[in-house]
Amino acid sequence: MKKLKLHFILLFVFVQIEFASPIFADTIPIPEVLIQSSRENFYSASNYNYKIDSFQLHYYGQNSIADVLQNFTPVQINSYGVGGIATISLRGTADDQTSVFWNGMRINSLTLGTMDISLIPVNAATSIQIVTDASSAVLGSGNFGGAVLLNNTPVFNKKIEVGIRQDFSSFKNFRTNLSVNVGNEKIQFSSSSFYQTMKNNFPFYDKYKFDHPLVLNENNETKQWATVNQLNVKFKKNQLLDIGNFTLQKNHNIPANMGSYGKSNKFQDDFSSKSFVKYQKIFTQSQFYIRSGYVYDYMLYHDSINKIYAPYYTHQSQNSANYRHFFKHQIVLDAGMDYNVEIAKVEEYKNKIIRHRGAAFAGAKYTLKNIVFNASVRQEILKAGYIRPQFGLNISFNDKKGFVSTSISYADKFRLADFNDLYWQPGGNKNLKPENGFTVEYNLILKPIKKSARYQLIISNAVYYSIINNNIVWSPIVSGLYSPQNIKKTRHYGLESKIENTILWNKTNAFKFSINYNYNHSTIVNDETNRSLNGNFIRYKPQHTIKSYFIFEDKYFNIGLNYLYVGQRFTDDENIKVFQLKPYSLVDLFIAFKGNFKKANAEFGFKINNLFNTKYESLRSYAQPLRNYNITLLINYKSKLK
Amino acid sequence: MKKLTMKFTVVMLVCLSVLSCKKEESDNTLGTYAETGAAIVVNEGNYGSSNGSVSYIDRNGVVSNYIYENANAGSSLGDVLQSYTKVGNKGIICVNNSFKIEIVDARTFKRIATIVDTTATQNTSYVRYALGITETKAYVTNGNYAGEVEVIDLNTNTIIKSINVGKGPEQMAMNGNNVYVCNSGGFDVDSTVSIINASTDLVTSTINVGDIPTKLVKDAQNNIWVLCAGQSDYSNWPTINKLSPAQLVRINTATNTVDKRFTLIDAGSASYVVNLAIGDNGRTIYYSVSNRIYSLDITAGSLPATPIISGRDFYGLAASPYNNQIWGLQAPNFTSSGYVFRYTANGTLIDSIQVGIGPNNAIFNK
Repeated sequence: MKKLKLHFILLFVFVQIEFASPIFADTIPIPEVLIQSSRENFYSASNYNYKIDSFQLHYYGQNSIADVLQNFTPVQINSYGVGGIATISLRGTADDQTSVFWNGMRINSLTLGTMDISLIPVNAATSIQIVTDASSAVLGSGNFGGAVLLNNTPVFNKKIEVGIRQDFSSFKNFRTNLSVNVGNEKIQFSSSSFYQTMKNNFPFYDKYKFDHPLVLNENNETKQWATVNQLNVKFKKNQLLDIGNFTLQKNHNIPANMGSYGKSNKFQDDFSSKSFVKYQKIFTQSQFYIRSGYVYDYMLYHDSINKIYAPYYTHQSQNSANYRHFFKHQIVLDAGMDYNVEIAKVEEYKNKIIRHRGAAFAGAKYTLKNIVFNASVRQEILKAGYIRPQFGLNISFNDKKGFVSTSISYADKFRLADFNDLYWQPGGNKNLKPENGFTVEYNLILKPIKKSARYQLIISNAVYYSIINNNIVWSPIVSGLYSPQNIKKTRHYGLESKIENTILWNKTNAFKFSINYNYNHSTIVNDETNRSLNGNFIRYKPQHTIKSYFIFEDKYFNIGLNYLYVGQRFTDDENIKVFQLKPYSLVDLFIAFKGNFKKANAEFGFKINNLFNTKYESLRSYAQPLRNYNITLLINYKSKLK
Repeated sequence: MKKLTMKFTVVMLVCLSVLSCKKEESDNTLGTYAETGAAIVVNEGNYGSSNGSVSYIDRNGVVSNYIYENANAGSSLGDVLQSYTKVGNKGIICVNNSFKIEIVDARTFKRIATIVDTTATQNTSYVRYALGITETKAYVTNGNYAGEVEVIDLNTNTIIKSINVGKGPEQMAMNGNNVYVCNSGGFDVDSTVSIINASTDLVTSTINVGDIPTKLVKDAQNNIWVLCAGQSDYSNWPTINKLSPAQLVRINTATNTVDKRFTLIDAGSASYVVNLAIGDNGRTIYYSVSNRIYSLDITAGSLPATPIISGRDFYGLAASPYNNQIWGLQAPNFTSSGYVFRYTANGTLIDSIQVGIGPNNAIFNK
């Protein structure tokens, strides 16, 4: 009740602010010529990728971007339960083989390699994009599955926008969100913050207990806040300075696994602060930018029963410079440098670890009528060992009428071992080789109906084939003692197919339907310690997933339905049927009523998650909620500044 | 002569009746999971994945995996299956990370009851091993720091008493009315064996044996052998140094004192010990040092120089009283199946059998 009061107080305080505007900006066009594509976007531009739109963020982003990515992209989220850790996996790769970038900085955990996506609220970025064939030549280490690019792109308008949003969800989940955007043609400031408390004591059927009783998920409280602030300043006509910060804190109680009769006393506290400064200048025929970022992560795991108290401190300084020159005959060349300093202070490493690494990058883009050629190369510079140059190639074709666009790409990939793999004592193995491999991908996008303002149909398909060598796996070396070894070779291939249909009846009525089918075949090609596993499916990777949604938008209301199907998954390398997870389907439904009042608009939304009360598991023995509800109230105010 | 004939007839009748009784008892277990000479293999499963399981290997080496799941309509056994103990017709399964003790019918593996303690004392928070005291009473060790032995009433399937012992109590063995409990230290360090009077459920004495006593067995002379793993230092990883020696210690049960002590690994060495088993009707001890298994006659005055088996790292070790085979339980990792490697008593490999994930022990039905 105290927490509820706090949320109401916050709501009241925020409403006192006179200004309001949309809390979730619409998909942002980039009207400013000044804003140049950063390297990671420029060399991914012609690739098959997924972008999250503002509508999807609006209705599926109560907790984090995990739900949004799970429902609208081929991403697979491995969820440890509501409020708990959620890791990300693409195309059947491991959860430390997909990178997440925030405004160009890689923000995966330095110690684990994974990214806890539950720590990223939807207001951390105005643009969320999945790049599936992310090449190591462009993005560096750790993108076998692909990369998630989170960016905050400014729009220079003379305006002020203020938004406030309050979410009330089942299991005493309350969230208050405030956003402010203010600026003119030369300076923009945006700020978005939220505070959330979740009891998360949802009921679930515990299938790991005899007779599968209905029990409450206890010790699952979460409290978190985050604030994202960005300042963008134009100097003269050709210079831009971006400064941004994203700070969050999360305190999460970790519940016991399903089947356990014990009371968990495990907790995880996270604090993270990420900042960047980017300066860019545009010349007549060239562009230049320099970016410097700092990522601080603190994580504390403590378990009072087992007397474990394990704090982790990591610091990363990530620096990048890039020069791009536009030559005649549609030739663009890039040259760039990266330099990172990575520091970890973890009790189990014994010593403070400092790692320096750099990279040199070169890229070329050549446009010949409807065909675009991309080539990029990167040389990683690392004291620990030599990594051969990484190459990325891409050829794309777009027909003039816009009916067909197609591309084929090749990407070298590698991943450096995580700090835990290298330095954890006992077990850490400093002799680990980087994982390496490649991906070949072919994309075909068809727009079979002549482009019209009222009707649009997009059919897109991607097929891919990846090999990963030297997969790092922790294996027993002596009894009870594990050490990471380069012991596995894996293969991943599949198909991603999507049909998207949009109909606009008039200015206020629109209908959008999308269905996305993913087939993934990820197997162990060779396990050096146990060859009987060769040919088996990689655990927790579904072969089939379907993601579909429809949205109907009216002047006074929006209604939408979302469908997710996840096929069966094996939970061990042996592919033991007794332990496999069954397929499941989830349906979410929402309706929102909205009204406009001069410069303000308001919305009341109601959403039902897991409409059919499906019992399911994302990871074996981690409880997931049954049917649950969410109510959203929001007020936006938008005004042009004089 | 008549008397002699009469006596002979009576003796024959008695013998026949005894034999028929034995046969009947044997027949009771035939075709069930309690069959004499067959073994139950305990597969821990992967921590956090609730995929602990039980395998059954009959006298001919034919394996049935996931017998609990099959007997209980697919119900899962739980997370980190630590041990199985047969007491009368019941089986006691300690499921460590599910904080519970499962009681099953030893013949069918159908679940009978689940013993849990959800009170503040959490007496099932870290259950390790069980020992049958009588057909209706059992002890279960519990605790990773402060340790206790829980007294289980098998009529009501409840914990009726809790006996405080050392830290991290593990395996137990019984001789006469005394129960010997090795206190491994759990997540800490201990070096003692507690002795409990099984009638009064009171600790009568505590013996210092050596650092980290984890396993014990009773030999044919009713003495108790304790495997003390010794403390290890990982601060110079990848070099592992023993801070205190690994030892094999004999407790003379007549005096309850240590009367024999073999040093398996000296302090400073990088080797490790894990396994202890007893075979040959209690006359031969099997123990492992790193990936080598040695056999030791209980009357020997010194340790053997050469191993009988080498080259494989085993997570568990067992010896069959039925045919004197030595079984090494291998867990290549905890995300795929493990194996039971069967050897003859002199260390010749017979075969290997695929079982569940993370096998740590095999318990032979008597």
